[in-house]
This record gives sequence, structure tokens and C-alpha cells, in this order.
Amino acid sequence: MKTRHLAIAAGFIAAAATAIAPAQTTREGVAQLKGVKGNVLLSRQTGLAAGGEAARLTEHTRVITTANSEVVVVYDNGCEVRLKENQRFEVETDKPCAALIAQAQSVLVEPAGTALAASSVFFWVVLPAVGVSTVGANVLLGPGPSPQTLSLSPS
Amino acid sequence: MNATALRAGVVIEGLLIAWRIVQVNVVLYDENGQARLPATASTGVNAPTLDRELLHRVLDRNPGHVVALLNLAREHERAGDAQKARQAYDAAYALAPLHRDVLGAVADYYLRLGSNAEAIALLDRLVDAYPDARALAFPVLGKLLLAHAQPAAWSAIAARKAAWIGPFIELSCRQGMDPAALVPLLLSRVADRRAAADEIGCIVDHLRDADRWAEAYQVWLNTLLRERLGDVGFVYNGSFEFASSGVGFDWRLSRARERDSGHVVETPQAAGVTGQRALRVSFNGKRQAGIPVMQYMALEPGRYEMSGLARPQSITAGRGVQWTLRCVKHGQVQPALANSERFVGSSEWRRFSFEVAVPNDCHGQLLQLEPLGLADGTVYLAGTAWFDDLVLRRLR
Repeated sequence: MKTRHLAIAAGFIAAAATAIAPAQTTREGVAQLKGVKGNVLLSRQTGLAAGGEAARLTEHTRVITTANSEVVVVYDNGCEVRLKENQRFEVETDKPCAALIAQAQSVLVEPAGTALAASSVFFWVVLPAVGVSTVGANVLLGPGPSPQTLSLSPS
Repeated sequence: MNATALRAGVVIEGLLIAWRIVQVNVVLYDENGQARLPATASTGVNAPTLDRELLHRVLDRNPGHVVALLNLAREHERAGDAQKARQAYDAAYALAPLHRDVLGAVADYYLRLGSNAEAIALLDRLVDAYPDARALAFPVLGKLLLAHAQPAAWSAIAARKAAWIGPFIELSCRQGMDPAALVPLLLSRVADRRAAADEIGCIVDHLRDADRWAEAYQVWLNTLLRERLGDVGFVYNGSFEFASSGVGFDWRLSRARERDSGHVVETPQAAGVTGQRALRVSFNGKRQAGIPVMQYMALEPGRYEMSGLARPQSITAGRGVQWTLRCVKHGQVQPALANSERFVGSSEWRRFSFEVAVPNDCHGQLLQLEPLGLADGTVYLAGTAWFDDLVLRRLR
């Protein structure tokens, strides 16, 4: 009888262990994706692949968003890193949450605005018609910068 | 006598009509149908200004003469009379808001004033309506874009899906404008599925050649269809199941004529492979020119293993072919980091693999199938090489 109870108990333990094992496998990693919107890519062993809601992330996994996409990387310790479109983030564990949040970076950086030329120069020449057009332009508009040059003013 | 006089009269009348035709078509009006302004008293090339009185007389006769109005506006502007200049420009624009010269000259006026939003709106209409004006106006628009002048105006143009944006992106990119500045416009066209391969290719290639690999790769990722983002891989489309675009980080299959290159590259259906298709490179036994197949990559530094399936068929008359991975810096292909075995002779499908170590200073790479000895001189190659299921795997 005692042996039977032991066998049943062992069976329960085995069943429980079987049930728990897959859950432990899916919990591999240190973070997961939340609020996936649009195209979110994860670096895998053979390169980038799509990452879905609740996908688990191991250390050094790179998370990449494309245009009109966003996602939150939720660490198991509660730290949340929000990625906007065209950003990338590498999952790391040895940094404080604030540093991780600051680590999400835009991949596509627009160049800094260049100053517009302050000088006023022609780009468009209206050719008034008096005989030969180029002479006519000079006659009627007077000397000026080349018609191919640019007229830009500071904004 | 009467008949002679009549004939003479007809001839004279004919001559008068002919003179009138010449006068109207050549002297009074130009080839565009615009009335010619009478020549000023000052006809020297360096004459400083236009006679405003003369322009007023022309406008008295024809108040709708927009070219005269534009010239008058410019003269007022030169004379420092801002109010009259503005009135004349406004009058010209009110009279002919779609006139080529009005759009160009008034846009130029706004640029001189620093009213960039108004200038951009007019330039938008100018290049939309007059494609021949693009060569002159695109560089101006490019400077405005680079200066981040009026982002709202640019957003409006992008939202309107203006047809000129594609040619603008391509021309500006080819003329050396910072491609990153063009990326937002390109992405708006990608979202509408209007971006042409040439636009995408130019921007990605220019970013890549500037060693801005991460940006180049990101732009390219954005151009992929959603269904293709499921499994991008380090080697994109390594099983050759999808047609190559030849753009960005996709396969680039040689499109040279066989008689020039000595080979033909195809991805036909094949038996005994992963999926349905495989890469087939047929060498015609003649001198080989160029690389048959290549793909740019943006691998992080580290160790990788490249593997794949190969089936050489009667590869003779040469030392065979091999896959190589090389760094690319400043657009220049560097010595090989690693290479596969040589594929010569014949065999059934077999798996091959080789390890690659990407150094820290190597941010972009080129995977290519190379006939051995191509860099050393003339190579003759015959036979066929099949490949499939190319995969690059990160080693930890």
C-alpha cells in the first residue's frame, strides 16, 4: 500500500516536472517583448528574424524596429525600455535601468541642418524678349550672378 | 495694263502680308508667343537696370504681360522699393499662378526674403508642372531640405505624393547630396509602395560607400515587404526562393551578357534542394569577366560559420570557383577574410562550410562567388555550379 502511494506520488511529481519543463524553456532569457506594433526584428543565431509579442530575449539579442513600428522590452526585473520607429537596442543585463533606457538609439539620424546662404543670388532669371535672349536678359535685368546659382536666405 | 497693275498689286499685297507675318512672328513675339518688349535705349550688355518707364508703358498697353510685371518687380526690388516689388510680384502671381516664369521668379523672390515655406510651395508647383525646370529647381529644393527649412512644407509635399519626389531623390542622391537627408522622403514613398529600385539603390549604396553600414542596412530593411521580414537572416534569401532585386543587401546576380562575362546566372527550379529553387551559374568555357553573384552584408564583428549546399557539374578548364567573404571599406573591397573550399569537377549535392572571423574594424562585408585566379589574370572556366541553402550562423 505504502509502495503504491509512493508510486502515485512519484507519478504526480513526474507529471508536474513534465508540465513545468516547457515553461522553464520558454522562460529562457532575461526580458521579453511587449506591445509589438509593426515590424520588430530580433537578432537570432542565423540573423534577423521577426519578433512577436512576448518573445523571450537572451542577453546580447538586438531588437530593431522599422518605420511605423514600436515595442517595449520588458526585463524580468521590471525595467522597461521603449523603442520607437527605426531604433535599435541590445539586451544587456549589467547596467541600471536608466542606462538601458538611454541605450535605445535611432539608427537613421537626419544630418544636422546646414545654414542657408545669407547672400541673395539669382536662381531664376526671367528672360524678357528683346532679340537674342541672353543679351536681352542682360539688357533688361542688368548684370547679376549666374542664373544657375542659388538664391537662399536664412530661415 | 489693268492686268499688269492688278498683278503688281497682288505681289505688293503678298509682300506686305509676308512682312507682317515675319514682323508678328519674329519681331513682335517670341517663339513662345510672348510679346517682345521693345529694346531699351540702353543696349549695352552691362546696362545696370531696366527702364521702369518703358515697362510701365508696356503694361499700360497690356496689363496682363506677366513677364513685364516680373521685370518691373525685380527693378523695384533692386531699387529698394520693397512694397512696389511685392505688389508687382503679387500681381504677376494673381494673373498667372501657373506660369513657369511666375512660379520661378516669385519663388526666387520669396527665397531672397527668407520666406522659405512660400518658396517651397511655389517650387513644388513649378517642378510638378514643368519637368524641364527640375534641373534648375531641384538643387534649390535640395539645399532647403538639407537646411531643414520648413519641415511642415516637406511633410505636406510627401503627403500629397507629388510625382516629382522620386526623380528628386534619385537626382539629388546621384549629385552627391547627403543620402540621409533624403531618407524620410524615400520612406514615405516606400510606405506608399511608390519607391523605385533606383531610388532605394542609390541611397543605400551611397550610405554603404560612406561606411554608414547600419544606416544603409536599416533603410534597406524598411524597403522589404512585411512577409520578407519574417526571416531576413545574415544571408538574405540564402535559399534563392525569391527573385533577386539586386538592390541593397539582396543578391546581385550578374546581368552582363554571356559573351561579355563568360557566364550565366539563374535561380531555376531544381530537384534535391531545400525549397524549390537553387542558384545555378553556368560557365561557357570562355574567359571570365566579373563576379557572377554577390551580396553585401552588415555583420557585427565576431565569429561565424558559413554553410550551404553545392553541386559542381563538370567544372573544368580552370581552378574552379569558391565563396569568399571580404570586408568593404570606403567602397573598396578588401582581401578575403575567409573562403570556402574550391568547387571543381562533378559531385552530387553536398554540404560545405567554413568559419569566418569578422574583425572589429570591419562593419560591412561582401559575400561573393569568385572564379579562382580572377584577380591574378585571365581565367577560363567551363561547367555549372549549383548552390542552395546558404546560411551564416553566429558562433559564440
